[in-house]
Amino acid sequence: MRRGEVGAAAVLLALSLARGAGAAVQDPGCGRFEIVVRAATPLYRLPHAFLRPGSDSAWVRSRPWRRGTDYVLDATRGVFRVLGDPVPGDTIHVAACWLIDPPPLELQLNRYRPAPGVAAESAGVAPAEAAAPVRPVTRHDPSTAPAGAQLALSGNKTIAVDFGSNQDAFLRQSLDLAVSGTLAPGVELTGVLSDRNTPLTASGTTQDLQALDRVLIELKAPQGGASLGDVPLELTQGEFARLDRRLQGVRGEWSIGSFQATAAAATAPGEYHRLQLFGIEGQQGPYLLTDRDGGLGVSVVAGSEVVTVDGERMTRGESADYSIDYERARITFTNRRPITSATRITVEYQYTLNRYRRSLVAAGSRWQQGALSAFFQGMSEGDDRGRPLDTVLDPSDKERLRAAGDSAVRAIGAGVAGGGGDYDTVRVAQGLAFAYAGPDSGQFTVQFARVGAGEGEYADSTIVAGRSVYRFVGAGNGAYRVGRSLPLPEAHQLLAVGGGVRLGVAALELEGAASRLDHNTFSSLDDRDDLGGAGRATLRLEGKLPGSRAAVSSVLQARLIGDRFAPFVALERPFAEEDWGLAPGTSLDHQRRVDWTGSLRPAGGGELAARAGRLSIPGGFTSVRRELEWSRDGLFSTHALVSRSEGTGRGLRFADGGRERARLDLRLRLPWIEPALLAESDQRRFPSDTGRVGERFREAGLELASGRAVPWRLVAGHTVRRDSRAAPGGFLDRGLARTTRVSLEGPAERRLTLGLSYQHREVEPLADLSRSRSDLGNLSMRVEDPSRGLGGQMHLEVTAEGENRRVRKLTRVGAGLGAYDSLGNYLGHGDYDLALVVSPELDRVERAALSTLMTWRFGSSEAWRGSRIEFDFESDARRRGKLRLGDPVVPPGAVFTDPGLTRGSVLQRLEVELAPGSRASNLRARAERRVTADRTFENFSQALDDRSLTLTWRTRPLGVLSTALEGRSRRQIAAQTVLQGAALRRALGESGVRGEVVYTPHSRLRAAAEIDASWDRLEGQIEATRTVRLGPDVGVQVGSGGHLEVSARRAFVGGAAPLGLLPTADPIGPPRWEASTHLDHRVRESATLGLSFTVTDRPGRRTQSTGRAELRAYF
Amino acid sequence: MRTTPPPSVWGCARASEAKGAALLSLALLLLLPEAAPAGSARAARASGSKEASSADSSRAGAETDSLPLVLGNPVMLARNAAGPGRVVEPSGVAVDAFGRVYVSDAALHRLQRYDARGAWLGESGGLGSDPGQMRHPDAVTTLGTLSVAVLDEGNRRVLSYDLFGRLQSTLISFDDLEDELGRLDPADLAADRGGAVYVADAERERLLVFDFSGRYLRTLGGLGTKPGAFRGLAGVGVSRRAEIVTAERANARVQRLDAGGRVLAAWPIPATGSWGRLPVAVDDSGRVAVADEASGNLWVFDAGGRLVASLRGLEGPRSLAFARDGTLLVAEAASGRVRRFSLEGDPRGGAARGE
Repeated sequence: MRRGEVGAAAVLLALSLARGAGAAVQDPGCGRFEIVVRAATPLYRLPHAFLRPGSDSAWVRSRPWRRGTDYVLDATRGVFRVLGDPVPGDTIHVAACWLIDPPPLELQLNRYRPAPGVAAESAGVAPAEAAAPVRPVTRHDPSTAPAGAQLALSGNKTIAVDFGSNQDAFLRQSLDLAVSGTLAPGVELTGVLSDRNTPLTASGTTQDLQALDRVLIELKAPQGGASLGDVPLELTQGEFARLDRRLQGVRGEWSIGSFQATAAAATAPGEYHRLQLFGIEGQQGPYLLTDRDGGLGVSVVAGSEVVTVDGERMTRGESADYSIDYERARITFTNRRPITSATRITVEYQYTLNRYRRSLVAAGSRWQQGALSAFFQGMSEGDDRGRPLDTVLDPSDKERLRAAGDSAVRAIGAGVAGGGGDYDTVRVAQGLAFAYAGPDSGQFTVQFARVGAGEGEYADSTIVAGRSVYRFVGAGNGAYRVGRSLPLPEAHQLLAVGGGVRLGVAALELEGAASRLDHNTFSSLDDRDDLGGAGRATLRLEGKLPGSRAAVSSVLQARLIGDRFAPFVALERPFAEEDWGLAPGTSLDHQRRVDWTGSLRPAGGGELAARAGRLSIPGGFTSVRRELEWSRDGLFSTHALVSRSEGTGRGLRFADGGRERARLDLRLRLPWIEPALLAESDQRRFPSDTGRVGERFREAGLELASGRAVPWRLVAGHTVRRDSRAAPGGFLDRGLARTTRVSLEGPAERRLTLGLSYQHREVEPLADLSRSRSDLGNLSMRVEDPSRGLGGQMHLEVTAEGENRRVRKLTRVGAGLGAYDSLGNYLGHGDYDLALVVSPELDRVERAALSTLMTWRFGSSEAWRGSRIEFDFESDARRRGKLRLGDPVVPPGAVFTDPGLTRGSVLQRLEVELAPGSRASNLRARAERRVTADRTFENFSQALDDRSLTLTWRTRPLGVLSTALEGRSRRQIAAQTVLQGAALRRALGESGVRGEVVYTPHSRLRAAAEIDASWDRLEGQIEATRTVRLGPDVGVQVGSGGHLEVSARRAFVGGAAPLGLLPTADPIGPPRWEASTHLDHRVRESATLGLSFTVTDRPGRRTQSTGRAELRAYF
Repeated sequence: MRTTPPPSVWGCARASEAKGAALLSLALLLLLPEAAPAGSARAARASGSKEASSADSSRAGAETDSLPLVLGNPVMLARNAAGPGRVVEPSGVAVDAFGRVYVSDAALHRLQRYDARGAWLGESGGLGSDPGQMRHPDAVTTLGTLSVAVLDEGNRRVLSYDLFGRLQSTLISFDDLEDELGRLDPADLAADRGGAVYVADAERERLLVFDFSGRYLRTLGGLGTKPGAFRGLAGVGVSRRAEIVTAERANARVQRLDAGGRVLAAWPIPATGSWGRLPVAVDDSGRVAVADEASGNLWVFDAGGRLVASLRGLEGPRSLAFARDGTLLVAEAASGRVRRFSLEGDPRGGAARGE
């Protein structure tokens, strides 16, 4: 504080003291307290105890409180208890009187002890301890809350009506509730609800904006809990009745002593499916997920996916293993998981229902007492055949379904409707057939049902305007038939019981399961094969070898899964069939199998494991498998695996199948360095009727990593892999792949954070593989020097993806009959119509994304502190084939002109701010260039270049007056080209000045005046468009709870008519008049009424007005 | 709880004592030195990375000694360490009704999720401009009760996610509003329980208001110095009753406004640095927490603007959020960590406490 200010304060202090000298003396033992109510807090301790009874009073702003009804007061302890449910944040005023010199609250009795050397009057008889009398006033503990719930409810209710001159009245309402607290001691409840209602049009219909109506409730109690809403359900007991689902319903779990149980009842948002696929060399994604019939265009239930790559479970996330687009059912792997042609990918997921609404009920329990254990799991999932999705079943459809049995091929309904569509009839040798005529260009709407390869007359061709197109290929040559596939409602139940007993070193487990799967609940035909069963027995022995400390174990398991048993999830891990010599995709859901696993763990460390097994599956394939594995961790880590399986099929020309695998991994863990050697050989043969089928790879690699003593983690490795394919004479080499990997990660420090990973892979063709090269990399760096005000960060990602080929199909439909121009720009009324044709084929594209930000802060005086210069560079470049070296830092001009970039965007921005703390003025400047290009269509390209420079100067000449002056210059260039069609190139230059004067004499009034002048000129145009726009903004407080804002603008346009950069349906240029009013009034402390009205007037158009009335209440 | 002393304290003064007070005031006026020049602050700044002058620290220390509440028991929730859930530059933090924490990372361009104990739940986003990707994500706020909104600063938009980290939509695109509102520089983001969104525009010192569907409704404030206007708008928060709380660097103050922009209260911030955010968080009882990214200071005020707690030594606090249990989460961008602080009564203070 300056001397002047101190002096003024001192004078004021003296005056106040002098004034107070004449005031009357009041009781020093009385006063007032103020309590701010907190959520879920009924008790408040006042600063004084031993309050005078009857001297207390309490009130809130709206009314006085009554003792015994609104509050109680423990006068002795000075504890104020709030009854009822006040609003957190409210202020409670309490007045009371107290004892100025109160006695202590606690009473302590002192026991008499005679002084040393003094004999007690009654020697040998200790005086009986007098029981401390209970003081009536201290007996009751006010912290004991009365029984009952303590819940805090909060939320919002909003009702709004939108109206206007060119729209119907819309009623929007929303309700958001949150409840939390305790229902009883130890029982906690947390719940949220969101109900967003949608525009109610004048015709009375509603439409959902998005699925926002949701409830989420969690209940936690000492012995269990329950959840309602979007819940995961996982049942993991045993092997046959496992379940992992994402549900919309209720789930509960509880445990009492040694008994645990789980139950759930819900609607299933999706249908479970498991997809196994191989990776594409150098392509991280996207990989498309399908429904169980292989159909595309499904959506995946968010969070339901389980992804494994080469048997290893993956984690979702850009810094983890994969990302997934749930809406389009596409999965893309990150650079942490490089994908090659040998990569085995498995995705288990739920795709959104497209047939019937489905419900699921499941329960599981487990009991364990000492050496005994038992479990039960049951589940039932079924389609509601009275509630089909996306279709309506008429009586004839239901009749067809009743006659179809379990066969989807027989469940075909009528599929042709006249009155217009995409197809016309054409005459072919066999009679009449349907041919695609164009979107809405034919006389018939035709649906096609998939009946299986070779069963139909039509084949799918391409996708136009989002719809699949089919063509006639002749009877028996296609997989589709004219007709509508009728959905078959399914019902699926499964029950499993099991138990176990442990006797010393031995443990026995038994499990039995029964299932029922009805593929068509409309029909009782084919129901004889609905039931199935499975069983398992496992014997474990664990102990130590006699005379040594080595631990041994042995597990013998027999498993029988019947031909008709239907589990809810796949029972085997992904690609387990290859271990037995079966081709990928062969089902192991039905089998007879015996396995034995033995392990030896010597006292010196390590583990030796041996496995053997025999497998038989329906169809006559039998296989025997043996495996030996050694692993040891320590200074010298070793891992070795040898595995061999031999199998024979029945009735096949090339009936033998098998797998021979060997792997060696050696690693030396020194403090400063960790070298490692890896080698693997894997040969697989699969039974076949046509020829020798199999593959083989041999791989060797070296790796060097920094040791634990080095704070920086560096790993470098090189791997060589040779892939071969089975041929009549043996194995034929296909390709040689060389992979180099480097990763570097620095310790987490404030000043420098660094992370780098890079992989280069080259595939050299030896037979039929094509040469390819891929680079994947991530770089993340952050540097900071606070003493100099410097900071910078960079993040770079290089990856490879796939992109669908697309074509823009423009069709001239007549003058004014379409909505687009000849370049595909939406005009509302044009001569063309536009359709986007997407090919299912993917082109390999490499992508580099870069983000760089550098900042320098400087200035030491009060005015200049906070000054800064900031440079931001953001880029995203995608190129078909290989990226060029400079693509991560692609210059803006290259984005605009390089035809090899399918998509590109670059942002360069320089910002300068000077003297932000100055009272007089401060300056801010920004120069920005943004270039984007889209060449993803085969026959269309578009590029935009936007450069701008802005200078802003703010001053505060007086305390009540502020000004802002802004100058700007902008140049935009747009280029569009249609192959063998129209082309457009435009450049628009704009310069302008904006000034604002703001007058704020006090908090009740803010008045501003703004003027904006701009000059726009299209390249090649002689005259510029001159626009001056000016008007006031006024904000004023109205009464004690209202606020009114009025704003108006008038635009004067001269010179050439305004033109936009690209043709558009939106009006160009500012409106001639524009005015808006907002009035808000606080009805109560937690409710606000708002009214707003806007009027816009444009030359040549009708005056438009819009308004909104809104009531918002919070509690 | 605030105690109003009974009037008798003042009433005890007599006329002679009043004269003595006036003489004392005159003595103070004559003897006090001028305010310290700005150059001394430079020396204080050179000694460390934080911009806290000695005068500020002594005043804050004295305030701490007499403040009724204490921010203590820091618990690490997320940090810059290898492994899942790593954060390098946490720029936004929010807490939902179930205690789950959402943290945006401006350096790694993603949104991380944790449960109430700090166990990592998952992440969303990645570097880029496609749907679901981000560039320099900044503020995070709960949107209504079932959604979370993220200010995707580099892409100039606001994204909404559900409570499981699944992308719902691009709620607001600032480039689409440029014709109507001019160039925007979003500095902070807040939302109320009804899903209305408030965006602090540092370019023109105003608050932009959107409804729960991302539709632009109106503008509040504008350039100015008096309450109701803004200068150096650097933070915005919303109370449970939709009272908007803003923090301004150039005006060095906090304002409390109703939904219509009417000023309910305003009070000065004790001391600010020169750059960065002034994040704001408001709890259910109306307490306001404000931090200064440049100086590393944090203050907690009650609903009336009285300082009840303060904390120094934070490393670039860029975002704050109150959890339902009353604890305060602080995202420190400079040190790459998110910590939880508990707000407890100071045993040395005499104010009443809730039980």
